[in-house]
Amino acid sequence: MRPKHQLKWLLMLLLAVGCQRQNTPRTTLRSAYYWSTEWRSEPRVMEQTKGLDRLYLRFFDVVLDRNGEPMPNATLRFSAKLPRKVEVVPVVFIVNDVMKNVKNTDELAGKVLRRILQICETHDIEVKEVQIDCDWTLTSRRNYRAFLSQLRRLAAAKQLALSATIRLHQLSQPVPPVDKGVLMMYNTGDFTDLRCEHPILDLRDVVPYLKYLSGYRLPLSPAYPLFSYRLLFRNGHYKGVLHADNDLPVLPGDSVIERKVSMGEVLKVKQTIEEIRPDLKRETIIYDFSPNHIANYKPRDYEEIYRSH
Amino acid sequence: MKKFIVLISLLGLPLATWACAVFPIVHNYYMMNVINTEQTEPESPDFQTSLASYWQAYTGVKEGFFDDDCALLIEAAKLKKDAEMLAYVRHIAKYQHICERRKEQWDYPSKDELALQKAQIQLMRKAALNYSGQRLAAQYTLLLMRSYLLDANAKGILVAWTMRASRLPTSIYKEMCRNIYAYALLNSGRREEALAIYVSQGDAASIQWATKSFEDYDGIRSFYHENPNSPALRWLVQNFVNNMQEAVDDEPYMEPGDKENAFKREASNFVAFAERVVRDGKSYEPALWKTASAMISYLNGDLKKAEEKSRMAMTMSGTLRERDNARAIHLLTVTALMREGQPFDADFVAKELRFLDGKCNPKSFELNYYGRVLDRIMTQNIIGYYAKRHNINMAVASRGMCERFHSPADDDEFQYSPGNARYLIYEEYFCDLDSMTADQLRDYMAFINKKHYDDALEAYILTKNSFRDANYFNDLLGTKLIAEGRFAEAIPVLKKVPLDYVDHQGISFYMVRRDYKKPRWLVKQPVDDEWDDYGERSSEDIPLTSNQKIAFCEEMNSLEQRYKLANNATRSELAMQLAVRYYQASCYGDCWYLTHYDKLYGDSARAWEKDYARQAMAYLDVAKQDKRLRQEALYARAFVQNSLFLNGFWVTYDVGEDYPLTISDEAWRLAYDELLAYIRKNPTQVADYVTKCDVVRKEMRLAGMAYSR
Repeated sequence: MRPKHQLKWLLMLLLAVGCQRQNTPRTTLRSAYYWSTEWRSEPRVMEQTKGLDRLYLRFFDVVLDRNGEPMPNATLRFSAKLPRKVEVVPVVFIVNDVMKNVKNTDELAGKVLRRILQICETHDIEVKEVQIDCDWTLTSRRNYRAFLSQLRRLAAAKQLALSATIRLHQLSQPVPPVDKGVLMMYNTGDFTDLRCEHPILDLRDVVPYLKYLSGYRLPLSPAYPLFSYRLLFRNGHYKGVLHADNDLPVLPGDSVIERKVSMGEVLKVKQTIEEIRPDLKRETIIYDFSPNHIANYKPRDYEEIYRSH
Repeated sequence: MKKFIVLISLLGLPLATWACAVFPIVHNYYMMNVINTEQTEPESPDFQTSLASYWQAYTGVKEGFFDDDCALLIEAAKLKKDAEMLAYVRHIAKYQHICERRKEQWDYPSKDELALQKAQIQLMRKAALNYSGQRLAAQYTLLLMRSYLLDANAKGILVAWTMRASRLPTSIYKEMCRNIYAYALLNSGRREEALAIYVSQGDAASIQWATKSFEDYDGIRSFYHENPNSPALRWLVQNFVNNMQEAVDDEPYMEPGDKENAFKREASNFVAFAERVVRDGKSYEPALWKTASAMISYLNGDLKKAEEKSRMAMTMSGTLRERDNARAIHLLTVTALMREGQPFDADFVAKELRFLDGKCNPKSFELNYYGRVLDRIMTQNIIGYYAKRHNINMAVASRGMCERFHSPADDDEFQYSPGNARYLIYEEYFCDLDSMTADQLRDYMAFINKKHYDDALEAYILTKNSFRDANYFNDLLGTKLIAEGRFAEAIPVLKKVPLDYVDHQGISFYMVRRDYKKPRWLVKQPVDDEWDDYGERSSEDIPLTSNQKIAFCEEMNSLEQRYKLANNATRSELAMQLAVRYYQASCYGDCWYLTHYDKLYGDSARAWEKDYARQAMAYLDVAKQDKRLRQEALYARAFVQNSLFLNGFWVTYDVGEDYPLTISDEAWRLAYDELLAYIRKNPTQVADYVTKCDVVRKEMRLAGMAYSR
């Protein structure tokens, strides 16, 4: 589709959804993800976190061990105290291979919840909600839903809500058995394609999924990106993400390209989806507050996203 | 020690309860090895052996120092009233426990446990900082660095190294400190310095971790561009070439579409790059690059180029290890050319094999790098050379020499023997011997005992393959002669073997319990050959009083002579007796040990031996002509044909379980039809053993015949 036609289509869509406004919440929760392996006393992180209502904190991943059994991995190391007034939502990332191969989803749900609660108890964290992140596919969907159903039962018995991350393409799929979803408004483009200049967020990549948004029968909170990454290309081919300078071999003639989300794009997308689903205004989540990312942005950048409607 | 055979076939049985399954020897060892001399997989340096010697000396015990929270060390220190050591080992116990709990697991530590760990780490650090003695100064320095390691405190580690550990005299503790220091360097962005330490310690696991994402051709180039003498290059080049080798070795097992894999595609680029590195002269170790280039040419089948390059590599500068590596690969290329028909200098090949041999560890089952090269050279090239030229004696002798390399030197605990098991895939020498005819084996026995050798290579191989046990070879030869039906020739050979020797073979367990004169089709002779949990037979040992093989040969010899001279009145009876014995001594019979050393599932007559079961069928054909023997002969024919078709389906025999049969083979069907026709014709004369046969019963029912006896 040519850009001109795309914009025309977008305009029509905005007009159409304008008629289906839902109730606008009175207050907006300020939230953020912290996606790292260590919670440490970084002044910028501490300062920025103080102003939050809710912090989605990655606790650990679940991977398959050498015997093909699900095992926790990269557990968050608590090297500093968490801010007292911020509500913490523990997040567990489960790699899709686990969901493809897990034999007993009930057992896994029990283990995951027990570990989350033990971490909370050890580190004096009070929780009301736990969250699961998994980039599930059609082959793992059955297991994933069974896992979530059991986890939701177990969590409810502890008066805990269960939320799950929802990727844009998953909007067209049946709603997972959870109490809430976090709509991931990032990594919308193909970052391995040199021609894709805005892989982190581009409204044009979001638009095709918007038709599912208003009808998606799950309370949603949107998570917007505020991060950048460096990509290595050789002869026009993607070679990898450069998390650090010596992560990957860089040869003469290689291109290291930084992809950074534009504030304008975030605001544009935010406005667009809030128009379609005003309940999205209830909470604004920023991904993410980990030291690597927060260092590249100023407090006013975060403020701008939280304040805009 | 009595060597039992295990009647388990790997081909047909699940081994769920036999965790220690047998795996075949691999001969595709990696040939490029410039660091990490002993391991085939990337591993951390072996600090444990040196530590173990220290604690052995202290405790007087051989192992188990770090088990059960170091209980052994604590006990030893208490007994010696060594308060200084006691305090130290208690810290070690705590350190170990914390390390164990820090591993990723579902059970997350409680607040109290974390607090305790924190307090223990602080105590460790305090004790290490406050230690002012001399005796355990190195140990406490290591403890200090470990306490920082537990806190992931790279700065603390760097300071502890600079202020304390680097000043220690050389010791295993200092090396362990250095390894932790390398970790801190790596985590402080000083990768090159860290790699230099890892390379010097042969810490392949850490090198691999530190260079992950750099293991391909691009990674090697980028390291080289940054520093042509980066210590990581040794590992990266070695790893690249060995990955290429693996890709080539795996090629026969790949799907056609997968053959052009990434490594192969990168290989030619790498060779060009390695040659450029040699030409540029920036590397202090051109031997490394030239050898890598040679090995890839070898793997690509360009043997002449590989020989030329590896010969040049030997003269280039590099570490001693790199030059030895070049020398080993040069021999690999020379012997490959030899295998392919190029003229070669046997003196040179023998000399180079001796060089490798001299660097092997004769005391271990584990081959070191030089042993692994020797194994590959012998297996792929030298055995290949002799096999191509149909020199069976040298091919088999070379196999025996290889197997000898996989076994430690003889001592009180271990005495090498080629064994007698075909199912043990690692007894390759025996498998070769087993495939020889009796005449070939006789010739081989004379060959390995000869005094004058044709050339230096032959001399070297025959000297290294030193197993000459006359009892072993005579027993094997006698058994082969039986299997070929050469009974008269077998007798004098078997008589050379002492009864005690036979009694110590695994087959004696069966020999003492079974009788080859009993017709298998009428009598079962199961034995309880189960093993208990302690590796002992549940049945008692009964000593042999005679070698049944000799008695069998004498009787068969006599019966066959009499059969030749028999008239119509006696021939069928003799035929029946011969049929009974031939079948029993076949691989399907109860007395398989007369012709074999093991019984395998799915076995059949070996190519070189007389087909005993077919011979039994031939004699039964004679016996069935006799009215008196007809019923038994027909029944026996159906029985034998059944076992031929089922290929020795004997698995449940000794545990007394029956298995249902369904006729599905034409010859088997004909044999049963003949028996059934007899039954139909003589319904009142059917013997009990026939009526009990489930197949007969079923067939009779299907044929609508009333059958009630």
